[in-house]
Amino acid sequence: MHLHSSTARAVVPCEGRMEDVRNERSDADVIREVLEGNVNAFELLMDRYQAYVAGIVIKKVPKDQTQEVTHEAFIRAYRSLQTFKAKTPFKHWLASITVRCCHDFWRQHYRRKETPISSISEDGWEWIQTLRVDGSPDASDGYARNPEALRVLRWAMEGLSPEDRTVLTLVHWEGYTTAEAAELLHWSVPKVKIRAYRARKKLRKTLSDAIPGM
Amino acid sequence: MEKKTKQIERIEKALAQAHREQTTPDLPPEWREGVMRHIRRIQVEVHEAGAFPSTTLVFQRMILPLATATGLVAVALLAYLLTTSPGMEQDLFAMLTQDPSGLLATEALGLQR
Repeated sequence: MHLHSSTARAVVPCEGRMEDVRNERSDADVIREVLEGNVNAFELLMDRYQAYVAGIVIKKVPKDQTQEVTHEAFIRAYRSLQTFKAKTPFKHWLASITVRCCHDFWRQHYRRKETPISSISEDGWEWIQTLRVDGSPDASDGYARNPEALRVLRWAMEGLSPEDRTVLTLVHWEGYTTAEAAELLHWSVPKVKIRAYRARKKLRKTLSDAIPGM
Repeated sequence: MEKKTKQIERIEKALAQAHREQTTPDLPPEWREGVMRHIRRIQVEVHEAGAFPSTTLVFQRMILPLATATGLVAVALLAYLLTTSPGMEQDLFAMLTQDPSGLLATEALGLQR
């Protein structure tokens, strides 16, 4: 009886140790396990990357759609897990799927014409006007923290196509190189360069047109 | 008055900063459960589809092997006809053109009986 209980202790690790064992496994090992039929192992990948994926999504779609698009990204990742080649890290592969999910979200959105081009709100207008005349060097940082900034951001992006929106945020705002953005979007590097340039030009024109006297 | 482009650049910079500063939302455990439920459902569907493939799928899978087999039989038949005696060729021609005496075939193919 005594021997039996000690054997049991040796075989079944404590909960914390089990957690360590789960965390020690590489992504490739976990993916192999999922592909062999243990679908529950996919939860470990979600554990590792759900914050990362949601962090990408929140910057690209409206806040109330974050959960839905993150959900879709993981489902797509699961469906195409067989195509994953261990040449690139799983994180990069997942980021690429996520960016394309966000891109598709906007494409569907535009197709359904759910995004009417609205005019800028009174508060948004005021935000722009005060920032415009505030020439202090760190003006942009302070104004960016104002909740109105996100509303102006949403308004300014409404005029851009899904492609322009995606490439502008990746290249100009999130600091991806054109090569990295091309890899994420499965586009060519020249296409990324051209679209990023045009998108920025369009955004500047939107801002310029909306503000009389500018 | 400051240049117009400078002002737009400043607004753009603030918008970019606002974009970057959006914080990652906390996803509730129910959300993750929802994803896992969805994934398990997909697995069951895939499993069932593998066990009982649909008629369309079976048909689609059979097209290529059947086409290959038919092509090979046609090539084999042609090779056989070309390598056997001209008499057989004439008979076949006669059969196809309703030329029982084989005169037309002999003439057309430049063959001698």
